[in-house]
Amino acid sequence: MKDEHHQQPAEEVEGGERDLPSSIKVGMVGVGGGAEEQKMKKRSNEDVRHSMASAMPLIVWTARPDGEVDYYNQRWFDYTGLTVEQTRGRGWLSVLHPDDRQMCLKRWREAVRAGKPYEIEYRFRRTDGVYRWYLGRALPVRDQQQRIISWLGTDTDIDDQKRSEEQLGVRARQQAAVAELGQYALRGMELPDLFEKALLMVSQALNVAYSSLSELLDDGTIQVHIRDRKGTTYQTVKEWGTSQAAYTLSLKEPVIVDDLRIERRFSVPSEVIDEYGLVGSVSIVVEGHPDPYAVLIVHTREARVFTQDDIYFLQAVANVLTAAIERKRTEAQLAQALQSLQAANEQLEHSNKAQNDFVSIISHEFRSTLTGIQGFSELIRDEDFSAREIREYANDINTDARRLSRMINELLDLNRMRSGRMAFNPERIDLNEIIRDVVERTRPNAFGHQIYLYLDARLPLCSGDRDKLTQVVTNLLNNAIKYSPRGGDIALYSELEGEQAHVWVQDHGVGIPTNALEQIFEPYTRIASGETRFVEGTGIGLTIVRQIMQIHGGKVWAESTSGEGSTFHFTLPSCCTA
Amino acid sequence: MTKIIFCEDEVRIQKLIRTTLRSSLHEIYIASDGVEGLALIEKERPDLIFTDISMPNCDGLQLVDEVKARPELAHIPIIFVTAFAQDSEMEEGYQHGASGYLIKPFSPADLRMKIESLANALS
Repeated sequence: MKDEHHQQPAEEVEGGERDLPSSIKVGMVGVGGGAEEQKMKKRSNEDVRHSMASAMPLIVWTARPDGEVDYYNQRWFDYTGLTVEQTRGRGWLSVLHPDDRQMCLKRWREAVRAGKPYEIEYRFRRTDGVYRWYLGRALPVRDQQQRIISWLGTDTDIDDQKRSEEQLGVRARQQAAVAELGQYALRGMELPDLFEKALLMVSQALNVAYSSLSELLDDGTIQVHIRDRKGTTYQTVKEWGTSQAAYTLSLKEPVIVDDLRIERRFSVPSEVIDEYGLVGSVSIVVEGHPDPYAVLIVHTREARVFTQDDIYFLQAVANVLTAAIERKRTEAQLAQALQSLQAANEQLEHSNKAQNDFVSIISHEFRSTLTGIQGFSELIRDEDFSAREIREYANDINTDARRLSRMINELLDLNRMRSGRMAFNPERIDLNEIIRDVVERTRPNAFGHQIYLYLDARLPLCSGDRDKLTQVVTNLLNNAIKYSPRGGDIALYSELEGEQAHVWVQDHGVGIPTNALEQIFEPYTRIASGETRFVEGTGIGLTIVRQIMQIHGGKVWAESTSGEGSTFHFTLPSCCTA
Repeated sequence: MTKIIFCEDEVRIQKLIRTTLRSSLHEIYIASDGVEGLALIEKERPDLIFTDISMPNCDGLQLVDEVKARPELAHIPIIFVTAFAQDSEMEEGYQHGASGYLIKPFSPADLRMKIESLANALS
């Protein structure tokens, strides 16, 4: 390292300046003069130096070439409160912060050995016990032969700056943490993971031993996520009780606790305090709509003053959580709404299609029936036929016309029944009597069929619509006749089963294929059968039968063996021996 | 003289067809469903086929598929006589290979005209 060759006075070292010469040359007043003069000059230089040093607001010190400190200005003594005796030798180390001692000695030794400038940041204890940061610097003082004759050092109070820097550093880190958490939330991280991340960040940023997030769920229970030294766990709690969280919620403001052990505003489970050795705490509300979503709490193991920055930080974290929870809940609601909507839509489509199919089927049936009417009437109008033929075709037209009329009526009936607009007049009826009446009316037209009755005399009066039930029995009996074209026996049974009447009609006709036993109750379903080709119906007879029984709270079903006959059953509840 | 096979399951419409064509010079056969119809078609090799769509055992669409699948029968024009005549239904029918439609309820005169024009086209 080269010395500068021109003379210059010892520089005033103000705090913050970093550009120093690598050494200071002695000989401020010039060269020349005898030894006495030199001595005097040297002495006067020392005096100047010392008086200047004393006047400076810095701590100024000097040390011997071997590194032993031999001088401190008054500032030192004022600041540390030490005496000269206490300072002497290595005494100054005692007021140096324990964490800084080792490094200080190391660096100082290195500087002294190498003759290089010394610079360090360390903490000295003030008379009141508070440590403050100082910037320590020292330069070697050399003679004209480059030998080090002493060290000149300064200590500048940089505590305010340092704390500012630290503060800025902490704030920057906190902001980064909040930003990172925000990123996770934006990317849609699932809440349990987000909470874990948040607690981790809070623990690290604030350097706390224990943090927790208590979330209030939709069903009223509380899920508590806890982070301690071991990691994250969670548990479910039924209510807030008189906990710190509850208090925080009621206060609606951040709660700062100096000592949990003597806290009286709320209760803390002592096991928790003891297990973790908790002392201080801060809790804030994670806001939500319409009620708060959660409470965020941190606990420390030593007494600590939480700064405004710390509160801001927690608030920022809470805000991120609020937004994330809000979003997730909204998403969940939306998803559910969408699902219901889709389900409803599907149902509507299904219903719509069924409706369309039904309309299509009905129009087809009607048009088919109209074909004969239109066709034959046109033939009669346009061509010549014998009187007999005309009468015959007129009969065909008439049959179809009446069939069409019946179809329309039955369809209207069915429609009314289905939409609940059908008049339903329940009264106390005798089912056996109804059956007997229907059989009496039908018997004259049932050529080739023997109709037998096996009715249960125990059958009491039932509650039902007389006309409708008559219609049911009539339909079933007519079907039995129609579908046994070769004649045969038909039997009607009634039986009391508990409080319900069970009636069935049995024929020995063409029967119904097993796979069609349910279909036949659908409107306009034709069952393929060569023998029943000539049977004409409206196509919705059984549909109406089922509808009527449904209104009565009963059931209808069919049993059959193809080629051997069928049995149609229905049940009528509410028959009590009252 | 043209040979025509009808497939129709409704008895009264069968009667209508017979009455309408009682004076025509064509050979008329009537089957009650697709199965009977196909057998008849295979046996008689008609010049024209008229078929209902909604029939038991083998409906009109199946019948068309069967006929078109047989190379010796595929050329025979098939006319649907049906009440299923919405645009989509007719499109489906044409896709199966129908040559034309006679929509129920139809005029006997229309039936006759259709047969005449088809028969003329064939000769």
